[in-house]
Amino acid sequence: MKQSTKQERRGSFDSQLSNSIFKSNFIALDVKKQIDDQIINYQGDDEFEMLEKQQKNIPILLFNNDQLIKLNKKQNFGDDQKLQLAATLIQQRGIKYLQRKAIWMTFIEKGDAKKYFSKQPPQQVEQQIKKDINRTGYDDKMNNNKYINLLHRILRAYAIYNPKIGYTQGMNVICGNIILLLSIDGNDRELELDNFEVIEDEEEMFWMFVHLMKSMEDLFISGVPGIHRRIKQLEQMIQNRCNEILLHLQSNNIDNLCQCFSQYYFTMLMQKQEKKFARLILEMFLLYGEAFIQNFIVGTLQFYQFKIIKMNELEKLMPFFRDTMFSSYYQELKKLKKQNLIIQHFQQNHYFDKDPYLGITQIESNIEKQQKRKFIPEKILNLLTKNWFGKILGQQ
Amino acid sequence: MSLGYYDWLVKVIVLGDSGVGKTNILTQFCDSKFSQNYTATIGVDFKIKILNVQDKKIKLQIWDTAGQERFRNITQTYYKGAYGIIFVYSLIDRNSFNNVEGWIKSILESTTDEVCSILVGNKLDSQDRRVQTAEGEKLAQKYNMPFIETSALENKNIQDIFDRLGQNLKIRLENEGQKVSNNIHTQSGQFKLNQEVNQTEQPTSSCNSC
Repeated sequence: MKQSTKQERRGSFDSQLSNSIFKSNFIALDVKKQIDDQIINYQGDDEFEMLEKQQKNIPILLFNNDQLIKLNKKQNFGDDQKLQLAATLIQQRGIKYLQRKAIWMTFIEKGDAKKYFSKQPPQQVEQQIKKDINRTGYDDKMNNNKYINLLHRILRAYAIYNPKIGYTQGMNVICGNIILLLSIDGNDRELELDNFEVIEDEEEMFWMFVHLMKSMEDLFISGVPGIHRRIKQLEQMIQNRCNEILLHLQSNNIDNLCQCFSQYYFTMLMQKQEKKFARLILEMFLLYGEAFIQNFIVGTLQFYQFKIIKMNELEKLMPFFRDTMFSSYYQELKKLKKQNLIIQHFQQNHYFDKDPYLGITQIESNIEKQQKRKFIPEKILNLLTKNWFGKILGQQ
Repeated sequence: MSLGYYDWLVKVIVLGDSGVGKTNILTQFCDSKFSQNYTATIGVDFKIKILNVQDKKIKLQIWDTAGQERFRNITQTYYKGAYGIIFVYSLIDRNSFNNVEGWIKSILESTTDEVCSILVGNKLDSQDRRVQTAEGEKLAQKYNMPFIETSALENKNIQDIFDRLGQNLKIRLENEGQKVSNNIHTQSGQFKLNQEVNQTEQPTSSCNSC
């Protein structure tokens, strides 16, 4: 009896999945046709512009379930595959929880964590961790004993694993979100329905945390020196891409962006956010690393540029940056997802870029690259004939 | 109509070890709330409150900082332009009291401006006291600042922190006003005060720490 209901559940799930794949492909094809039309219209215009347009709007085919399962065994992803995977993870509804988690774990190098879990960190580190584990929670789930115990154990183990960092505030938020996202409890409905007592895989969570922390070591070691480089880069990006915001902040006496934005880095944008937002950040971070964080911050600021410029007092600006900006942006992203526009939005905002998108200067260098690529005799010939024909036709 | 009106705008920062109750003191003072289920401050938090001192209104712009020692590097970037400083330790955490002097020194080192400070021993509600009142008083005397013991949980003496700080701020601002000899009471010139003071005291102020 139980078996059959389970199958039914699975069956309905599969059909749901294929249905959504079909739907998205269908829409993707539709968009593709639109873009093809656009390209035809653009032919008379500047070639570079056409290339830009074309690059941005190529519809991405999403992976189906079988393809996702095959991906689990893969270690390295090419750029195209990354993009395809990113789009699938963002747009695809109904990917099973365990499936998703298996994909995440392909990015993670695991080892033997027992030795880290069995030791005690120095007293000072232990004290700081103890102070923070009870005040990490935002989600209700974060306040039960099982969760706090896991958080305690993993942070402690990490302090042993990387004594250079030990523990820095903010790590509790990142680690806490990893626990929320990787625990079966609260994520896998089927297992919950079966009413098993779930034993969470703390080592898996630990290695995920280790992986995320790898590129951020300079951000969390004593004195937190890495924050300055990140803030400087952020400032450069804002200056190139939405300088009005920078000027506005300066006119409000904020001449150091640390004051508004440093917490974004120490918490990987995950502080006080809903779980699915944290999941999005985690997935994009696994694929694109810290570049995603930078691009996402600037993209969000750009999105709210006019709103920000209208806020004329720090008492409005600061809570907006701290509490409201990302949660309301996430609501917007959800709407875009419903309209099947989210992938396009991510592409336009450079969220899938490998590097932080600096703005104008980078476009210039891209054009240079394109120009270089173009000086292949065949292409020049192609272009020339096209242009000549165009001209002749035009003259006629 | 006079809701947004104030005579002075003043930047105040709250310093002290992690977990001593800085954020809870502020939420109690600004929002009349105490939350058992609060989160650790990462980066900086920001609150506004208008304080009445006799016939004057002082708008406090309060910066709440992260307490962990390794953030001090960033915390110092908030010091600039601060007029008031609240040093907080916890009565049940001996270390936080021992570290207060470090916080005071970090201010003395990084700013030449005269600031109005106050020393606060928080968590008066707890039975497990580890720092005696006399010790707090002695330290406050050494650095010539007022001292007060509070409970954010029970809302005890919280308003007093700001009243006493406010009185000192008012005295200082009035002296300042005579020195600079100008009147600032426009709503639009919100940051005038800080800017002008910065200009007079440090002509080429630059912050190159970040």
